[in-house]
Amino acid sequence: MATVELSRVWKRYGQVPVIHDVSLRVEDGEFMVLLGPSGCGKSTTLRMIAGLESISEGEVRIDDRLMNGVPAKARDIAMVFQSYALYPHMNVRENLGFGLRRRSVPREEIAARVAKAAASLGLEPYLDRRPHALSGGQRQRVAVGRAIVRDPKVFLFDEPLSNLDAALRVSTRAELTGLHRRLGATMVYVTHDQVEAMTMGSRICIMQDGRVAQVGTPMEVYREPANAFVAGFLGAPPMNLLSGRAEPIGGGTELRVGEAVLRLPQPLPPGSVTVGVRPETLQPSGEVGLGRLEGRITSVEQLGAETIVAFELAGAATVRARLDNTFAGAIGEAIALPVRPGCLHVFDPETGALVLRA
Amino acid sequence: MRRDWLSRGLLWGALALYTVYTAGPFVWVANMSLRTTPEIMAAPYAPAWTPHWWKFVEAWTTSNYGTYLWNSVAICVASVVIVTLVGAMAAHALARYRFRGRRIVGAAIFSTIIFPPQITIIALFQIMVEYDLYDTRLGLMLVYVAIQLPLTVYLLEAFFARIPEALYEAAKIDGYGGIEVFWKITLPVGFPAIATTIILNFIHLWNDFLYAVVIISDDNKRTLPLGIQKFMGDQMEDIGMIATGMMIAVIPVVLFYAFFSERLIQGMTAGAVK
Amino acid sequence: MDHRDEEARGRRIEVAAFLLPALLLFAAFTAYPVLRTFWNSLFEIRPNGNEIFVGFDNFREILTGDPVFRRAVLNTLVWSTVEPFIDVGLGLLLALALYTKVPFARFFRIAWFTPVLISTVVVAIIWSWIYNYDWGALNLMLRAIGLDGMTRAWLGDPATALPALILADSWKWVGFNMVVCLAALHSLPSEVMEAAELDNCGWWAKLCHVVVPMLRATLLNLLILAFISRMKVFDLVWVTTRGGPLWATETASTYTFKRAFEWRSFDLGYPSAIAVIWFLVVIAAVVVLTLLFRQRDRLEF
Ligand SMILES: Nc1ncnc2c1ncn2[C@@H]1O[C@H](COP(=O)(O)OP(=O)(O)O)[C@@H](O)[C@H]1O
Ligand SMILES: [Mg+2]
Repeated sequence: MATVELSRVWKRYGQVPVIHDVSLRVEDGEFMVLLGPSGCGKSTTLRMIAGLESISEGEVRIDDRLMNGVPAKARDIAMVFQSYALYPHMNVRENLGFGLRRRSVPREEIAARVAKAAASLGLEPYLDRRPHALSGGQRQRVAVGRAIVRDPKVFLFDEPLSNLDAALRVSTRAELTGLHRRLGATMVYVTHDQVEAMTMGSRICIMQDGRVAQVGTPMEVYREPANAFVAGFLGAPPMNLLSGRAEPIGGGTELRVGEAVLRLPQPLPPGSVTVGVRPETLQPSGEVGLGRLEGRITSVEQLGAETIVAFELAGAATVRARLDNTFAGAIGEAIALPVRPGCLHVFDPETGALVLRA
Repeated sequence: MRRDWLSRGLLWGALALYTVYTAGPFVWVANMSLRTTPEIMAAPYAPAWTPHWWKFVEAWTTSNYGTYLWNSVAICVASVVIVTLVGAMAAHALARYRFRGRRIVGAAIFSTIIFPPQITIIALFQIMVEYDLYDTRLGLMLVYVAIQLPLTVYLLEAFFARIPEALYEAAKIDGYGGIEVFWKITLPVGFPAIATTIILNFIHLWNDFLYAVVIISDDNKRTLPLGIQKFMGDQMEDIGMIATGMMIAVIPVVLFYAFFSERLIQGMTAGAVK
Repeated sequence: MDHRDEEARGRRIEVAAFLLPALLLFAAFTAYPVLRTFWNSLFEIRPNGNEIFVGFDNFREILTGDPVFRRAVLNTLVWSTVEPFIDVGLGLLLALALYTKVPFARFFRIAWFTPVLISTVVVAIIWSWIYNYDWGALNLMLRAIGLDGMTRAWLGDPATALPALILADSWKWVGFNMVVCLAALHSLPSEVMEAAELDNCGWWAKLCHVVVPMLRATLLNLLILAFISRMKVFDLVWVTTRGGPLWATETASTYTFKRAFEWRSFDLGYPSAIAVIWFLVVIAAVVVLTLLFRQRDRLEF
């Protein structure tokens, strides 16, 4: 049982900072996902927690104990690597027990723990095989098993599912969440896949260019993105981000997006803004809502359960809407969809920070 | 169709001819090794209808062959063990650590691979004399280790550098430090490359003549290549006996080759095959 | 912070521990001897330990007044430029023959490689017999086809001794080049060879326009490797002719060896100077070859 805390952590390679002032607290038993595009510094952050990378500035604590400079082996963590990093010259049993042997755990106990982990992961038939004789999914489970037998304070995962095929990824996702529930251990999980993040995380920490963009539960970061980056990163298709202008009118504001006009009750200073609307909140209905987005359909993607419609907003960019599969419009036809109250996000076009939600 | 047949036949003929060219001399010497010199002189290419196996016994007992063989085995095995270990350690350091001077150390060691032996051999002779290592097996062994070291480090470094870093990180998290990682990860994972260098070094040293002839003079310390030459000198015109002596030297290698041909070929061509 | 310093120091100690044995051996038995040879070359070194500084006299004498050295250099250069083409060319042809999937290709490959593993001393004795005037295989064959006039003591005749040794050496090394070429051929995408097959060009055209360009890097490597190895040639000469007859087979290595250990001239300075000159020649050759072929490669792409 453990907490992990990063306070004002920096990482520099030479003079180049790749992690900027990251602060994050992972609570005991939490499943924290580090999510972000490739190269944003997720692995580096994880590796600083693991002790595989030195910390240029700031502090990392596990269970409130300062970890800066403590070698990886003394941090009581276990890590599952993207490439699994199984020892090719050892069979599954030896791979699982390797970490325990070093810690001079008695032989019988090693055997017992290996057997237990193997049983829980369905690895018993393969205990005497070498990694090269295992399938991708089996290797992945050995890598997880190697972490489990150690019974560490914190589990660290670095994109452990990215080498699996799509079907296996879905089932393994469920297995890992099940594992988290069963063990109740603290886990930090790195991924660039938002579906993994949304389905697995207790909380998600979204990273952008070495900084923390937002931390919150999956629904918080989805519904209430703190900035345009988070808004645009989550969701498939992602939130529509349209540039527009705000003009005060009476006590409220008029937002002009191309030729569309949206009216908000809240006041906003005049100037350009970025307007965000999630595709699934755009649904045909008789209401007007905050205003209507109108244009000509440019593409219709029928996905079976739903239909993704893209239309050219007059005088502005392309807007995507996620409609149900009964939608019958065709390319070139006109479409008008109301923006529902409570589903509009306004961001600062310069900083990307959320200005208001309406 | 006819033409195809013809060209196939020609190709086969050429291959067979070349095989006779490479293998013929061996067969000839093997044949001679079972015949006496008067027989050979009477008909140099006649088959050994009545093989004189006793010649092997005589060659072995009347000469110092046992000693030569033992010297070769002892010196080569010791040198190969040491050069493999020392070379693997250095290759591990060069492949797995980032430190100042790494490139310079690597370049200095690797560049000596192309040095001609003369540039060291006279000074090596002087050093051996000065430190009482001249005409000793220890001295020859040290020189053997030194001359095979650069190539060994070069080949192993290239291989070790390709072992994924994550393996070492996993071991680090599992609690293994610098030296243990070398024993438990680098050596076993790098085994194919190590086997290759062992073979390469062993064959090179087993066949070495130049360094042995400079450093060894006592008959009891001679290695096989020196021994064969000595034997040739002693037997003068006794062609049959010389052939027997040569077979004694060649048979261990050929036997080994018969069982591990692919590995030996792979080992000998390491570095040249990409 | 001290934690990190401690870790850095630990890593430095580890690096040092791993490198030290190799560096010590390297320093004592490679680097030091090289430097000492350079140093020696400026002295006349007598057996009683007397070292007389002579400056560049050794070099002057070698370069201006030593016909044997000149002969040795010439022989070695001939050897090391001719043999690589025989070795690599024949090796490539044999590899191509095996590549076309003849039956027993594996057997041929293993059989042809055998000489590579045999001690040069043995090779030398075998070939000195093959070249024997009275009962050597070569003369026997010549007599058999009625060319009695061409028979001779091949290693005893200054005109033929060097070519005879080059042939013997290539007998040992062709198999090596064959295996490397074959491996390179197998690593080519098979479509290339199949496409050439379809183009239905003659095998010679295929060789020149498809195989050789595709294997360029490997072939160059082999040529350079063969060149460097031949620059060092010693054993074969020493066991067969000792550089004779009349210096016809003297090489840089045998001459250095003779001057240092055979002539009992008891001067290690002069042969050291020979070694230095030859060392510089080899290094220069390697540098030139590397630069030359790098340059060409760059132009092509
Ligand atoms: N050893 C290194 N030297 C310099 N830059 C590095 C090094 N390792 C990673 N980086 C940089 O740090 C950034 C973050 O990398 P990483 O943490 O691996 O990203 P990811 O989020 O994809 O896991 C990247 O821009 C990468 O280029
Ligand atoms: Mg990463």
